[in-house]
Amino acid sequence: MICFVILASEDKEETLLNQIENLRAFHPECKIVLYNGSSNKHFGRSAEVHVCPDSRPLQRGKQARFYMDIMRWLEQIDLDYEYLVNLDSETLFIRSGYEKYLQFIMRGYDYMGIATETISSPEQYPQWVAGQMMWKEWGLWKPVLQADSFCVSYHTNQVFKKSLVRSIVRKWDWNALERLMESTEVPSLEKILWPTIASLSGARLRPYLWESVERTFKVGEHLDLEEVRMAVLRPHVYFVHPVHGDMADPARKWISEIVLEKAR
Amino acid sequence: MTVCFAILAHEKEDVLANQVDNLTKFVPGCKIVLYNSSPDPDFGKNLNLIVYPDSRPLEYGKFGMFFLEIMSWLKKIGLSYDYLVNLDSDIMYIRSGYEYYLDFLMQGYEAMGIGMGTIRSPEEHSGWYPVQTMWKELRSWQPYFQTDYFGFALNSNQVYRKDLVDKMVEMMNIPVLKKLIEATEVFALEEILWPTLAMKCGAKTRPYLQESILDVVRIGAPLSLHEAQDALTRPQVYFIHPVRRDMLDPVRQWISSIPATTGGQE
Repeated sequence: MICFVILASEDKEETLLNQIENLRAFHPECKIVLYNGSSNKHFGRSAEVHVCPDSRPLQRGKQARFYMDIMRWLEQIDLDYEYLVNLDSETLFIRSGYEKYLQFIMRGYDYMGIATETISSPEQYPQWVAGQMMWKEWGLWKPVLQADSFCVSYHTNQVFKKSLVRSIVRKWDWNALERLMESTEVPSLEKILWPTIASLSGARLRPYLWESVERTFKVGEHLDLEEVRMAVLRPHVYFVHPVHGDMADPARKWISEIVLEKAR
Repeated sequence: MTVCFAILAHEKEDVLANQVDNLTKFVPGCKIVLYNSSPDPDFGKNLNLIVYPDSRPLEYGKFGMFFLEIMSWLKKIGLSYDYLVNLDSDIMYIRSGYEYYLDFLMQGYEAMGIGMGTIRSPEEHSGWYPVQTMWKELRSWQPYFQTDYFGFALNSNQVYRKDLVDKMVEMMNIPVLKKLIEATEVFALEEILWPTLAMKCGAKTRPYLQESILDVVRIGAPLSLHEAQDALTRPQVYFIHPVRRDMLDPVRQWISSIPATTGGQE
């Protein structure tokens, strides 16, 4: 069973409801947790999902702590699930079968992310700003992490097996990590921190199949209708990102129609 | 789901018996068809497999027809299976679960092969010798292929769904193909011919996952014991190639000692 965690930092109730409807259509068994990263305390109340009580407003680019709050809370309430998957609010699913995909592709692995890999030196990706900043700050992180390298994945759809979440929550000095998260200048730290923490907690990491994300997961410009239609033709593409949050966006409308057809 | 393996072999019955045991252990319920290419008509007769009755010794490098003959015969006798897979005699499986791997990866596809893809110009994969030789001869083949491209995949472990096999058989013009194969100088024709015939039938094709093949399937030197043991630590590696055709080979002996896992699925 999958537990999805949606991090919503903007107060757009309609878009959130649309995403929840999308998740329920393609994963009828799933659990959904909302991390309310907006400044509106009541945001998401109409959605009938668990809201993480430790949620707090998070600025764009400073969202790394969200996984810490979620994992610690899930362990505390001992929620039953097999895979914990975080979702960006602009991620939408386009077909069923994601859980089977996880079961198959994560055989022998504990963590999966988009383009997950290990970064062992500053010479690897010299143009990558966040990576270079992490190396600059490494003197601060190294004593806490006790490592010589770090890992990276894209932020959305990182998957953690429940046993890994448990190891993570128990292993780390959260006060020290929280201080670092507060003071860091590394942008989008969540892309680096969580795969690194997973790896250092003894997890075996792997990337998604390239055929599942190539051209259907992007950073930057939203996917257009044609791109989303093409994605559905490829058997191992389960989700697309980013889909514009506007309910009138043609790509979002089209995906919502597939959802409606499924429900019929 | 039933996998039907087709093996072309011409010598060393003990090694073939070992391969049959290997397949039966890791792909339980599979069917195995032997194309007996040895001069001994009794070769393989006492093993747990089906011998293709019209087998005959094939000249080295002229294996293009073997799989196509087996395809036609399977259709004729109405053998039931889901996937037809050809195997080199020096392929060995190292873990259970191959049939689930096929079910999963071939959702939406009819054929799969190692590196399976399409070649549309001499610049693509220009370093690969079979492809170079096909471009030289393409004029003779094109009237038959009726395509302006051709397909390719490594020889071993090409997978074809039964519906596709039946369609390929219906479209095959055996006399014309035999003539072309007699005259061809294309090296390792089977790497091009079978995928192209599948594509000619409109099949959607795909390659194996790179993580299943990288460093564990190669042409040339057999894998060392260390390499084979390392392969087993990678969850999506199901078979390795080549393993020496020698019962005293430590890699073969080690593989023979790996136990099957239940159902191959976690």
